[in-house]
Amino acid sequence: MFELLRIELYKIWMRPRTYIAFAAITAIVVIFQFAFKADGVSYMNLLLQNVQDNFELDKIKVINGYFMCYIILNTLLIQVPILVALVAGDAISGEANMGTLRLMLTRPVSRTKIIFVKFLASFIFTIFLLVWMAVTALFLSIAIFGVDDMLIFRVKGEESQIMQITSDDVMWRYLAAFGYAAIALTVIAALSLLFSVFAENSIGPIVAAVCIVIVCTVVSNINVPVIEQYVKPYLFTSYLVGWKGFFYIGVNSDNIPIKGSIENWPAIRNSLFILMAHIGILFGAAAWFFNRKDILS
Amino acid sequence: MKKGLLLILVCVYANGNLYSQNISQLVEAVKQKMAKVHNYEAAGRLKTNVSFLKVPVSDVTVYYKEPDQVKIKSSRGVSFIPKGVMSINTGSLLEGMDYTIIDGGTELVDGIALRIARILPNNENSEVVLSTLYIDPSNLVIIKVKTTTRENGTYELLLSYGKYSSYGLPDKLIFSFNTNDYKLPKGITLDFDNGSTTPPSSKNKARKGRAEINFTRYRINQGLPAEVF
Amino acid sequence: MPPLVRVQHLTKHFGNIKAVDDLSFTVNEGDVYGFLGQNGAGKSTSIRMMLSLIKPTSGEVNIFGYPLRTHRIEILSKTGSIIEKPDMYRYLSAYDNLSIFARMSGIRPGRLKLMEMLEFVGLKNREFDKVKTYSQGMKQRLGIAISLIHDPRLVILDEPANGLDPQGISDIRQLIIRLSKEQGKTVIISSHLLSEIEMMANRMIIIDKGKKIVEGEVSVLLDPAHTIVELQTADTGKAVAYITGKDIRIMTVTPGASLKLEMNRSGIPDLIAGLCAAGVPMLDVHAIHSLEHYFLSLTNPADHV
Repeated sequence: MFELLRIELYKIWMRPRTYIAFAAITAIVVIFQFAFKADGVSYMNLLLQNVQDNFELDKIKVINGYFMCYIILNTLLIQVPILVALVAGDAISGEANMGTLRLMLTRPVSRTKIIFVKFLASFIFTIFLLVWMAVTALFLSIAIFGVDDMLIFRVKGEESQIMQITSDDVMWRYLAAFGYAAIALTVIAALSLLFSVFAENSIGPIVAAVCIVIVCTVVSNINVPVIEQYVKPYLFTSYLVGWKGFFYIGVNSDNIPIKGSIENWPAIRNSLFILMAHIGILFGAAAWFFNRKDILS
Repeated sequence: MKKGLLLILVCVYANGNLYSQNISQLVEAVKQKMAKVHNYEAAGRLKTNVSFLKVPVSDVTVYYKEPDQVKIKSSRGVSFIPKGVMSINTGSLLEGMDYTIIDGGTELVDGIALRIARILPNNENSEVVLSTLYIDPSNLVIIKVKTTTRENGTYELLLSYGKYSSYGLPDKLIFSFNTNDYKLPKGITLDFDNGSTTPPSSKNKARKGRAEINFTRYRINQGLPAEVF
Repeated sequence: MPPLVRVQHLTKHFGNIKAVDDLSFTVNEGDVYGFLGQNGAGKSTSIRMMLSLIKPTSGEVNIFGYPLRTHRIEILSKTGSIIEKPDMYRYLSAYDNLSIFARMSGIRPGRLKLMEMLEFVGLKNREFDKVKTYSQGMKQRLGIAISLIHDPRLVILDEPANGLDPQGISDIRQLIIRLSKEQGKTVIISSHLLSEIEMMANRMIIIDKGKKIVEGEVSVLLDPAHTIVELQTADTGKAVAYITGKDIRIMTVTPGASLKLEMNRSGIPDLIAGLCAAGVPMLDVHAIHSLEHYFLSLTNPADHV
């Protein structure tokens, strides 16, 4: 298994298209950092519009490394599923397209092992993507903008809120958030892998996976009661942004944030279980179909 | 009988006059007491309680320089300091203003009979429309201030005193104010609905906010660094 | 000795299309087994079923005495194959490709062994070039290297000479003969080059429309009594006059140029001697490979001359 995994990872890293994902992330992050360094105050004015009437606040201090990373992740974690699909969607269909699938499947290795290793390799690629995001979006932002307390702007029901997390209470949340994001993106990988099993060309599975993510995300954000009650809980995209829950800090009766707390850990935990269940079902389906597939390519 | 009635009337009138004079004198006495403080640097902890704001308690330093310069600096880079809290120095409220004092009578607060002085600025364009002081006459300190302003609504100050009461400087200050409802511009964030409940939304767009400062230490009349203001 | 490969009643439906229909055959150890059929006859489908790439609708494949269905890993560990046009990872070198597939086959050959194999198939000095720079013939050679790197007991080659020049074709032929005679490997080879099959295979099967037409020893199936001989002569009239009445069928005559005859292979020397004695000026005499004729006669009897 380990040997197969090494082979798969080697193949992924030797393909030029793998590096497109890292280049894309770097470009997005750098653009954000440049924009905020140049004129982040305008963005803060927008976020803080009527708060400034009643409060004195140093907006420059708000635009620190922790805040920047949160802003960047908000955007990146919408685009990164495409980058994950780029690799995972190519896992089987790319081999079929290249003609190497039949070579691979005439080796003395079970199909289940092959698809599991492919999935594992996609997962490891996702981890590397997230590590790169952490390096650029978090650590590079810290280097450019420094560290200070972090402000979270949030809509909760009908209310908008501003939460302040002290600087010494942030890093573990990012660690947890990236961990959550890894699980969330693995769902995308599993979905892309499932589509990849049915195709002999990578474009189809990649586009299909991305379309499903986009459509489900749009539906997840429709605030109509029937959708909220009967559709949204069953869409995996409703849980993709659950990483933000690590930044929703709990408060005491005086409305003071409680250091080290999470407002609703059970919700995050349940989201994680649902995502992992999706991974299990999608990968299980992929393995099932792959085992029964006639290789005609 | 006539003489007795006349005497009573004179006494009442005299006392009445004395009573009216007392509120102005009381205010003046408080003002004189507070004028002993030319500057101070106070360390405290600021706790802000606004419905849409979840911010931690922060260490603050309050700088005052007569007649009316007040600056609050937080130990945190990121801090929400209510704007009106700059008026915490009640002495500056009374300083340099042309005003009329009206006696508002007394009110019993926590077992103390407080004298109420209503301060009406004579300048029609003054930012302050009306300020009501609740004064502890025995200690010559202001316990409560209610101020209505043109631009920033009404706010209320509650002060409690300890070892610095001789200077008229409070140990604890609670500042209540009106604040606009906060609305995040649409489309900024995709939020995670974690199912947490929210209190029923108030149809009234204005919200009440509260800031509380507990002072731990004052450095009085020791001078202030030049760069503060 | 039991056969190395036993295929029994193998059938495959793709929807309503019956690609392989009740196919049965055996391959003995040490055979070079020719697998023949026209395009679309079901050869590749059958080979893919033997390699577990396609699941049969019904039937059994036994290799090395084990059912493929339950012993896939063991069987594939001792089987090497090329299926149609071999494709590799174009962005990797030949060396990397060979290494990857070797490791997937459960062996970890060192650099020396890999280089030797690449040299063996004629890719010396191109080992570290990316496969995307290779010609089809070079890819074919690399495919053969991949099929042999783990020293398999059974080698299945589907069109191994595709894209090769005449020298390459000859090299492949020599290789297969060596694999069989010197290394005792069993080779199943499917090819359109019937002349090559005739030179290599000792047993063969011909399938058409998914069904077996005939199976057996090549020497037995190719009836020497029906050898086709082409005679080139300017005096076709005199040649016809000599041949008429003999146990030779004249198939076609191109006046002033050539004749095509069907006769017993053993009578060719006597024919040549007789034509010379009769004063027929002969420019060329050669036997058309009867496997081709045999094949066409079985698969296209209406078109066969």
